[in-house]
Amino acid sequence: MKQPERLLILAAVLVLARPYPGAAEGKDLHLKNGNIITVTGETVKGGDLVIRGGKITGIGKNIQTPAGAAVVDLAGRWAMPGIIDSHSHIAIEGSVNEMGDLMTPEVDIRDVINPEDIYIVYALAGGVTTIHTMHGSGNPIGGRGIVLKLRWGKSAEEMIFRGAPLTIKWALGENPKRSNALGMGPSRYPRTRMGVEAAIRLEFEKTKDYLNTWAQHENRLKALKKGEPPPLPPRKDLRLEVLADILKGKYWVRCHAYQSEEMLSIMRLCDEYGLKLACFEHGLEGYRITNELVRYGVAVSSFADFWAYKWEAYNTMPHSAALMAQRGVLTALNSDDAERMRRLFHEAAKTVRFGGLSEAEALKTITINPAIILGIADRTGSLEVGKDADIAVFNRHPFDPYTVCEMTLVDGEIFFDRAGYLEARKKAEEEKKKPEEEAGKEKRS
Amino acid sequence: MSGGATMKTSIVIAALAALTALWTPAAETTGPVLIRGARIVPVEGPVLESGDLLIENGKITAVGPSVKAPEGARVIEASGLTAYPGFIDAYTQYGLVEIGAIAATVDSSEMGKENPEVRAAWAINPHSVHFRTGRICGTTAALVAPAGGTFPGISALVKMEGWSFPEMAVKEEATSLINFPMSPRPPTAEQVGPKPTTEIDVTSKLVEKIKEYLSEARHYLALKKEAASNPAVKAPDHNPKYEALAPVFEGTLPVILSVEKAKDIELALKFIKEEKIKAVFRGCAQGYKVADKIKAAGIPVIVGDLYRDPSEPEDGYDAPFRNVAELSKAGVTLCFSSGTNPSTGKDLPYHAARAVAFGMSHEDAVKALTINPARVFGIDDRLGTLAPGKDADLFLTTGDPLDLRSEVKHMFISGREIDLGNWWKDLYDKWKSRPLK
Amino acid sequence: MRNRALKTWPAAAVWILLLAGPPQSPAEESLHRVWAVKDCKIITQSGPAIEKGTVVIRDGLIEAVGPGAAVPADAETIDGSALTVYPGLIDILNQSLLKLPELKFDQTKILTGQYTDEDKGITPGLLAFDIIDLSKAAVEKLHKYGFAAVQALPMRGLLTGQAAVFSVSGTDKNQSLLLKDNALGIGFSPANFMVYPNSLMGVVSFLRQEFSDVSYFIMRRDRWRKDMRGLARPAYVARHDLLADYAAAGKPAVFFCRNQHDIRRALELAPELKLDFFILDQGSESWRVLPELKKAGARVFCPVDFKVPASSLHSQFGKEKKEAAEKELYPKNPARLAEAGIPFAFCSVGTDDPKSFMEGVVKAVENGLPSAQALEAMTITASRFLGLDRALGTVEKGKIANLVLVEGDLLAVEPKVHYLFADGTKFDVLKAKAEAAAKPTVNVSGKWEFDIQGAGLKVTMDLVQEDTGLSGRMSTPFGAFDFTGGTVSGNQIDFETTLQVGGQSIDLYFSALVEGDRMTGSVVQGTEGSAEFTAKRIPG
Repeated sequence: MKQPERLLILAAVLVLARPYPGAAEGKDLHLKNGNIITVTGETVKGGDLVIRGGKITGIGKNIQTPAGAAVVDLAGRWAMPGIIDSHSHIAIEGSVNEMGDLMTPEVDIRDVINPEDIYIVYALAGGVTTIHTMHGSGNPIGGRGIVLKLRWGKSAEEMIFRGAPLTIKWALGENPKRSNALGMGPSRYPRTRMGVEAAIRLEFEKTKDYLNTWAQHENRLKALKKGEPPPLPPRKDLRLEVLADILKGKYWVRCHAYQSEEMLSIMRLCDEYGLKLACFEHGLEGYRITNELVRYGVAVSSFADFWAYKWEAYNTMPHSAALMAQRGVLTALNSDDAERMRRLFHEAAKTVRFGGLSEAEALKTITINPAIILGIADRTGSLEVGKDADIAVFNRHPFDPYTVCEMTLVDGEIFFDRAGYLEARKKAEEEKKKPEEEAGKEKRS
Repeated sequence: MSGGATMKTSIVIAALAALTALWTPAAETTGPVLIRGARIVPVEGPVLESGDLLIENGKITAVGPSVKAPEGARVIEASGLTAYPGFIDAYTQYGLVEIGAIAATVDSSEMGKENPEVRAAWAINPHSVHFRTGRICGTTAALVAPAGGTFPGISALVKMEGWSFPEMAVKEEATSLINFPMSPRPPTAEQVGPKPTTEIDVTSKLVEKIKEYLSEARHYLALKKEAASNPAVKAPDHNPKYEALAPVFEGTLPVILSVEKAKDIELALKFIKEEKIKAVFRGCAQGYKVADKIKAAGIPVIVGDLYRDPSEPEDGYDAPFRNVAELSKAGVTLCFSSGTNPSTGKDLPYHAARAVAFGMSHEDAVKALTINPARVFGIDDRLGTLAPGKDADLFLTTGDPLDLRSEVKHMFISGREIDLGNWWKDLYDKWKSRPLK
Repeated sequence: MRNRALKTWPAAAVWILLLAGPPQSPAEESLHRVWAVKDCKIITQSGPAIEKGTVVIRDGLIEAVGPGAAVPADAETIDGSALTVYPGLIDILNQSLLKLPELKFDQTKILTGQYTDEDKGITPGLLAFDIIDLSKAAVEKLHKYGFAAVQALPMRGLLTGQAAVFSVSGTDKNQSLLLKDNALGIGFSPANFMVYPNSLMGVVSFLRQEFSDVSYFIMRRDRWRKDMRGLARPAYVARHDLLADYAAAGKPAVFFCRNQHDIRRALELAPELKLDFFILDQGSESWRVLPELKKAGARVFCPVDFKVPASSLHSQFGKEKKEAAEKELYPKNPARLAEAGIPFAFCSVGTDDPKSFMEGVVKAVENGLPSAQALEAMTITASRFLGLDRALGTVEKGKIANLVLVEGDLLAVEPKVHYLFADGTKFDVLKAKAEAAAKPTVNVSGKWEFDIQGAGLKVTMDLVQEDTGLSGRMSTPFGAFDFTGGTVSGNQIDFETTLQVGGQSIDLYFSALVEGDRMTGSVVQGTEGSAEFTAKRIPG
């Protein structure tokens, strides 16, 4: 083997487990004899799952292995839909916030995807297959997000979830008003929740003016007589262009908010401007306004029990997500954090203990619900025939306290395999020991 | 700070004060309590599949297959429940931190590097909401440690219940602490400029500084002793910082050393040997790489919370969990801790569960939540197991306490049944009853 | 697009050569001296090497080359029997000759957030021509390693400035100028204070808006120029006027790519911004994007410092693996480019001096790059990239007399350069070398910019060194903090500072190795963590 290749493999050995024997890229797979948690349907105990061309083509008992398919014996393990994290900040190059201006919808995470982020590997090892990676919450209107499938080792372009709706990040409360950043950099308007909302309104008024200016220009062009020189067009403002698209409903608005009252207020603002919010991020006080959230039709992507790190996160409880889900709010659990991302199954189990969500509903908070929130539920989020083969395999039920994720597939391809990982690790450690042992021998002799 | 900020802070404090004043601690010792027909896990000694446990005057007075209820005893029919000794969280900041982002509610880190004399005991707020939320999964006692600088101060070991700090305290001075320096991580930003031609060992240099400080303290104490018996020697000016280190040198006050990297652990082992101090490690993320050395030195380890990433990517994604499993297999005495965020203290047993998932035995994990910390902090005569003579600090749960689907139904601290209500339950009870529309 | 550039550049060169005019001071007399190097080996680069021949130099040009070239009667001869004549090397993207204006930060700016375009790194009007130091002392270092021409380009910020190309003949810059304002620098590293853009994604958005505005500027300007009647005078924006030469006139931009992702980013952006472009592969990661480079027809400036970018997995798996990659993987970058047939020129970006530049070139050859191609990457390809291949890059009649006379191989860590000709001026390198003074000792006194990695923090450090003692002041966005009691030992410095931020006190322990105007080291914050940092001396 050529030296550079050897080095490459050495570096990758601990992150990229070797694929399952026989499971080459694009090869069809037959996962046999496992417990298949479909999420949207019944769990099939002692069942099979067939993957062809990256899609699920069969779920059931005693399915025959299709010709050419590799067989993976699940041996009683649990297969569930790949976990979806609808609020993440990994795989981003550079800062996740553009803090230089108050409103920055023109910035786009798509421009700065980092497919080499090690946290992709950690996420895969926690059963995560799809993430929505987003701009931070520093600005009332931040940047555009992107949905990625965690195809580790592929380019940024190849990771992008094709066809996923466009998203834009908004943020209310302590972060955009910079309550917890006193003395860090210049003071910035706004400093209150009132100011945050006023700033958003001002921005949309500016956008309406901008659209008017262009409309007038178009009208002048139409009215142009032959031989007359065409009027000069207005300047193209790429920031206002995105804002205009937000007004036109081209973006799914993901609004970071903690307090119930700021959520109610921004919903009214959106009604005024004819906008639709897709989802509140965190929404730790969302349990107080479930009636209003359901009526408005907005989802909440929340934490299981992370709280009390700041004032706006204080008036909440670990029962919040369960209570919202039980009262009809489309609720997802997200990580917002590279570390939390690898234990979302554990976080989901907390909603069973706190607030008494059923296991079936709790599983939805990390699979089909975030898929609906991201507008990709037709492709992923449950194990159904015809959907993408995004699958996480656990040695025990994912809510079992001692469960370990053992395999993760994206589009039918194995991107994490614990057995392969352990084997590679053992080899690497033996190899590392060798020179040490030899050196030891020389010393002795 | 601006006037506005002060105003905002004071409003928050007022709100917090209102919250924390809501609950009353458990009633004073009532009569005897008999727990009947529970599965009893005493931690040391055999498990009783169905047994009784008697509590009198704050202590456990009997444990057995069948204990007769004294007259007037309250009987708790506990069939279907399992009794465990209360868990001891071996490193926390309960009562020192209320809301991390609001400085006015944070009392964990004093300014400056060397504050070996400051004591958690002086600042712990027994009425912090986190004591109540933190105990619902079985934690009945916690080490509360200050955190700032190289010598953060002196920790206290408290029960998770009480009208006042002295009532809660099991040990007002539990340990001293040293934050051992940490070797640099690999760079995370783009490298500019030339690479160093030689490695700079900053860690060793900083360890030298710690040693220098200790040596000054030793010198001070020796001089003071000398002056007491020899009028020709002038006693040095009183130095409370050095004074606070005297019990450390005498070996009566153990020191918690925070360490992470394997290389630093080895440095710390050398340091402990040279300084002849009674030490406990905290953190030890790369401990598995030098597990045999830690075991040989007989240093117990308080593992940090397991909601964490590998110390370095090359350790592998599962290093935090593997670390605990391998330290346990090597025979190192382990204690679990929930770490520096008291708002997530309830997760203590879940960290233990992650270690079990990756290879630690369940039995060892339970020990690391009970008798191990009791021994490490020298309170095993009172806490850590269910046995006659010990404090009645225990809980009854619906299943495996490491399983987050289990629920603690009864908890006793110092023989008093604890109200398991808290801020969360108050909110839940209120808001689940909002009419649906 | 590239053809356009090639057409315009030589024209500019000729124009500038004409401008140079007749000699005006005694210093330039040498331009009109006549030299003949006899019996030398000639690496012509335009054809096969000539084993024994003569090179005649007159009026700054090569008058004759070949085995049979006659020695003119008025020529001073140089015995070349032990020497090989090479085309003078071209140092692309030279930084060492530029004296960048100092950025002035004060508390007011930090508190008010009122930063200038300079602070933001938006300086397309910063011209290499204006800030270059071509004094004899400055260029002598280059001569020792065979460099006879440089392209210098300011590289600080986002729109970093414009390049200029010179022969390093030690004369006035107007006399040695070859091309002025011939390339624009575009960086991806944002300012790290609260100013727009301060994130990578912000930089991309900024570039889109900026070049959209430039197109708008051009459109309005041209419409107005064509017919002013009935049209209000369009606003004049100096910045856009400068950039118009690049957006419309086809002068190329150089994208500074810190890693493979930046290369992909630049390949996508350049057509979007309608820019002719070069890739500066600062992360030595072309080998990871060869198909993309090939498809885009990209031309690459290839540094030879071979540092593994922090974004690469190769730098995230411990020291050993990082060093292995640095030693064995990244130095293959030039060879991989050559194999793939992607045109590249070496550049001195990332190296501290010509010596380390040559070390890097030798390393590239050791790692599989044929030495002939290495030489091309510093001569003919470099001249082609500059659009100067008619005048530079080979030993041919009519070309500018930029020549190196070396004993043995030129591509060596310590080439034995005897003479160097720049614009026909002869430099006796061997003699100058012997006279070179002893190395100065390390003195860190002065202003430094510390870049603390991971923290994303840049701080200014005023250091005062007195013998082995070190004291100073650290200026941060949170205020300035004095310290004393530091030490300097050999080329290592150590000091400790305490920051007071928001009622908290933070102790920082710095330790670093100094190499010239740079240092590299670690900063430890007690047990809280630590980071590596690099520092650069702020000139002035």
